[in-house]
Amino acid sequence: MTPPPLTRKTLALVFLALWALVLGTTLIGFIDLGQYNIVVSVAFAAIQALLIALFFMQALYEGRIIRIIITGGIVWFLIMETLTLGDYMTRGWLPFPGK
Amino acid sequence: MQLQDQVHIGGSADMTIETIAEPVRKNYLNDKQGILSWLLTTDHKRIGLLYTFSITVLFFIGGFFALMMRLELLSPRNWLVSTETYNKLFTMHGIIMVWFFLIPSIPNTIGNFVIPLMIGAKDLAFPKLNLASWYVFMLGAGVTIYALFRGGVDTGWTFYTPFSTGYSTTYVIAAAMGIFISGFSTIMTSVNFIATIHRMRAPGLTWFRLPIFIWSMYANSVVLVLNTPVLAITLVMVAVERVFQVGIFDPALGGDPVLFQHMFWFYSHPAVYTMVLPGMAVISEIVPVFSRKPIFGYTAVAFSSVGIAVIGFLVWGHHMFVAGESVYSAMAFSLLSYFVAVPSAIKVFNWTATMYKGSVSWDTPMLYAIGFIGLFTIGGMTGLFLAALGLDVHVHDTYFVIAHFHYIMVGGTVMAFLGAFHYWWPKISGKLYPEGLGKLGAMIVFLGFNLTFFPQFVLGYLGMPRRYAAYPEEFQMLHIISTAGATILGVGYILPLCYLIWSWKYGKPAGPNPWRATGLEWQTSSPPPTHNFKKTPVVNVRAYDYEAMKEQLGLREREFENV
Ligand SMILES: [Cu+2]
Repeated sequence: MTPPPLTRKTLALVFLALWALVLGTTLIGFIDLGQYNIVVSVAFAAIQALLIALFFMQALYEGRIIRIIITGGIVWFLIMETLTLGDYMTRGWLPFPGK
Repeated sequence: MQLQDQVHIGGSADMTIETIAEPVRKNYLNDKQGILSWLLTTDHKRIGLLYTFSITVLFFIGGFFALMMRLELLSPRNWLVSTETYNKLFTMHGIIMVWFFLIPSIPNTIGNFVIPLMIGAKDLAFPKLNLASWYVFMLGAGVTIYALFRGGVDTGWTFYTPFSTGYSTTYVIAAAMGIFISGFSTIMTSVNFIATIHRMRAPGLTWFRLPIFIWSMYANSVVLVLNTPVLAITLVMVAVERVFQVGIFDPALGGDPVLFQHMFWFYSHPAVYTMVLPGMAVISEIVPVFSRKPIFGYTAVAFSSVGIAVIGFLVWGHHMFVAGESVYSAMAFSLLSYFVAVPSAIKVFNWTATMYKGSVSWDTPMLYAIGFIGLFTIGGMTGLFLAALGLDVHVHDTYFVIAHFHYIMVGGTVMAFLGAFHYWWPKISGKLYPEGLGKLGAMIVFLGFNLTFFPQFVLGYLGMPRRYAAYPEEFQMLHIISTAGATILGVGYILPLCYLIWSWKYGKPAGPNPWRATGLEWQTSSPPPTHNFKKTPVVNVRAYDYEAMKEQLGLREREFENV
């Protein structure tokens, strides 16, 4: 397998971007955006995960099977999230008898 | 030309003659000697045997706990062990049987041994990773045994919160750590299998020419790679909350105890399929050989493994119907749980159809296979009872559940495990086991199993809860029958252990293909040489081509009869 065309410069940039996002996540904690706080921090976390997968785990430079497997992992994670949150979000829909 | 190729695949008779003519052949067992040659081996066949040894020991440890429980339950009152000890008994029985026997049982022993042989490879893709996996497994088992000797765990194998994180005073973290470590071994083996099946198939062995065993083991490995990390992180979170009081599952700290169940069962329901898929893999090999027919509906059986792997991930909420899960969510999980019965049923119907009009012979592996089909069907059907929302409320956490999953795991997986060892024993050891004792053992196991677990369906339906050391007197008769059955079952497990070990030394030489089976593993000598094949086999026929084989052998046999 040929080594991926990752230069030190790219790696350094990704590294800095990750730290910038860490800083961003921390700072967001001090600003009150109401329910949007969670949206912003999850978005930051998602970008961080994406950067790590694409560059550090070299998903950007891998073959088809590896990409399918990574996508599979993400889809499975979403299955877990969707069905679990499906439970939490529908719990209040039906009133408890007597309440 | 086509017929010529089939002659090549089915050419077992010639090979037998060749083996007889050549008395001592270099094989993987006598190639190198000494304990170090085993502990440092990278040969998948030897690693398979290392696993077999470890797993057998662990099986009997887990079995000992089961026996202690069954003895305790002879009497409605506590008489043998304290209630605290009883809690530890069922917990350690569950932990050892699930993670240190059932999950690695067939893949890491038989799978390790036969996958490379079946696909015509010299070894697995990463032989050193394979050895590392065994050491990691032993470390995990060691840590769990350590927890056991320090005083055990009493949370149940499910580690439910808030008991496990807040209240239990036993060695929860040590036991969880042992399981966490063994998870890495599972992932190592699974990654190895996936890479091997993708990359190392013999020339001409396309996906749809693969034995069904490979399909099922592939699906199984994918499931394990996807779900094991979730268990690992869940157990870490239990430890973190237990030690640092971080609020994850404890409502007092802002957590949610049902979240634990979501995460645990997201792992553990698919884990149930990773216990039974390898069993199905074995049955899909045994049934065609002893029916002398190709498997009925190859494509359907192959894809049903994939179907089980995928749908198995969508049903975990059926463990939480009474745990505070929302009614809508419960309805969705109930419906999805019914769907997963479809691919399982496809397999059962297709195995049965394979036997239909086949020339069925009743050798030991086939007895185990038929036992598997029957018991797995009962286990699966009662699973549908439990998937039904309303009925589950009635039988939740009763012996009905215990009986249901033991029909799948003991009636299914353990039967398949024993069937597999009898079927591939001639290949592994180069010797034949005593067939009469084999059949007797299979009957004893079948009888003992049903006597142990069928009464538990009744007990559960009548309201006997699981995990109780004492019970109302009206349940005693059924408990006594169950304990009697467990004793018979114990004899049924010790018997094969004895005669298989005996035959290792004293058995008759098996020859390369005693079952006259198709499949590449039967084309090399028994035991196989270290690198499996003298030269890489080339495949240009489908799997299980018994009709072609029958024609050729039939011709020969008829000549024989005429003489
Ligand atoms: Cu389940």
